[in-house]
Amino acid sequence: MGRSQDYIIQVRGLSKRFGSRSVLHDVEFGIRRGEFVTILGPSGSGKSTLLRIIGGLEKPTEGSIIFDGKDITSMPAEKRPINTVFQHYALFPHLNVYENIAFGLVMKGVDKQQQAERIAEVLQIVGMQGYENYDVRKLSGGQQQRVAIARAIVNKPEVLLLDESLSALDHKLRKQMQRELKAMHRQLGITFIFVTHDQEEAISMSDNIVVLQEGKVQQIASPSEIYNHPSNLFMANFIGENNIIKIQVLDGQKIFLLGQSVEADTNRFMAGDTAYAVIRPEDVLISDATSEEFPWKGVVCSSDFRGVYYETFVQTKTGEILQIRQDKEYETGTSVGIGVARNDLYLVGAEA
Amino acid sequence: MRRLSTFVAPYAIFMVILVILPLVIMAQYAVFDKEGQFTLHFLLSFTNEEILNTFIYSIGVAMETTILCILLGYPIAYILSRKEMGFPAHLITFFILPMGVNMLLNTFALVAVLDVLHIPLGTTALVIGMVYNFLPFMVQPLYNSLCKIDSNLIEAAYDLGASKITAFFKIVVPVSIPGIVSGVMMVFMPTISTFAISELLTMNKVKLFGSVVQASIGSDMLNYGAALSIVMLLVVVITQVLLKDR
Repeated sequence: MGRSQDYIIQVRGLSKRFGSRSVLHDVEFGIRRGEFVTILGPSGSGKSTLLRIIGGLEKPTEGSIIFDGKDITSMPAEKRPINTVFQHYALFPHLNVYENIAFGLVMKGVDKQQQAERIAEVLQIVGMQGYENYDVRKLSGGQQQRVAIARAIVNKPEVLLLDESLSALDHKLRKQMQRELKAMHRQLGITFIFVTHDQEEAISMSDNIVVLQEGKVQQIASPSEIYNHPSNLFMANFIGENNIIKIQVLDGQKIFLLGQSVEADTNRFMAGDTAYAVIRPEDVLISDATSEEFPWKGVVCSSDFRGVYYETFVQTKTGEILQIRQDKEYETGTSVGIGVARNDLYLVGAEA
Repeated sequence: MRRLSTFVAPYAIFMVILVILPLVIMAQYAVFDKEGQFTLHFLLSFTNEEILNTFIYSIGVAMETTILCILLGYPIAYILSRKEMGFPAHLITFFILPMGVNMLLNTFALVAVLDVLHIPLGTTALVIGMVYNFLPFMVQPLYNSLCKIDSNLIEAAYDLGASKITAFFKIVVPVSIPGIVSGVMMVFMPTISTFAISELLTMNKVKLFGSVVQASIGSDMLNYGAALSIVMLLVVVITQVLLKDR
């Protein structure tokens, strides 16, 4: 954690209730200047509400938003140096592309000449030159998206908020827009706060990810940290496809896993604790049943070709089914030996 | 295609018998006198001063009614359409309920109310009565078009630096123009031809164009009444054409 002046935005003890329904609960994190931060969470996790509070469209019940060291909690949206790209773009239907982008500049009283220059500049950034006089209702989803981004960045905000901005696009266009957004982020050098429910999108685009679930922050970390070291059971389930098996922690760096005592890093736990072992499908080792080197025995339920690997499901003697990715095919019904390297056994608790 | 045209037939018959035929008959009455002689006398009589004044006065009342209906109807339609203001959705029913009651009954009821409030019958009472009767016809289309405005649009305006008032006039009002146009059509056009309301609320002192038409037809001056109706119809058609262009 850096000093507080390193942060352009700090969210402090933020809670939001709509009547008796609690949407955000004691949310706290900081965003560094120039970062690409993603707020990731399933629908209903409160991520859009959090973004609306940062943008000034919603007031928190408790807590504050600090912008560049100043408390802006009670500052209305129109005064904040923050602009938003809305989920369904929210382009003004009665204005053409040029007038839509000019709206924020007109509000600020920027003169016509400068308006024209800045609009030409952002149209170039989003690749929409020549579309000035188009009716926004006649543009495709991807084009509307670009106009919405142009309309926001033309105001030179210090922070750009993007609310599920890519969700309405088809897969291919979405991938392309992800790359373009990253490029724009580098080019503009401003802070991006991106909201999505898509973990792949979050992992591929962000410097840091804030994972929200039921209004609570589950983990704040870089994509690789989130992928390799999920903070709790929810995170282990949420990120990637993992084998998650309930275990008992034993004395002396050992755990009781699938009916066997094996070595593992148990530093964060006490003997007697219940925890969960998180094992990636590609980290499960598999061999012939005759081999004595692996601690567990199981029977192959299925083995399917998936392009670069075979996805094999093995049922252990204790009844658990393990998902395994290896480059060898196993015939259904064969007995196999199963093992996991000590370093590939990662333990999480039920709570953070 | 053949089957589709079969469905169109009843409407075509309806159009011919109930719209085109009456118009042709009316036009015929307008250009012939009682003896069956062709004459433009009735149509031209529109230009005599008394009729022209009544006509202009009627248009004035219709415009006044329409403007008052917009000024009164727009705020209430806007407030009820914004879900975030937290008014129950069915509250709108109370505002458009009078639409379901016969206009004559509404007006009789209003006479009683005006009496209680000591407002004399006359031109003020006439405008009150017109607005009272036609306000629901303005509120309904306005409400429908305002409901369709995504609250994200208004929030986007705030986000881009617009104050609440600027967002209202720069975004809400322009986007709701289709609703204003249909509201105007629903109010302005029928108010030109109304006659019962003016009779009841001014004790027949103020003559509107509709009243003149009604009086001439009632006193066996069919040709004259038909000619005036044609003029009125032209005004309605012109209004419609002008508004449709928007």
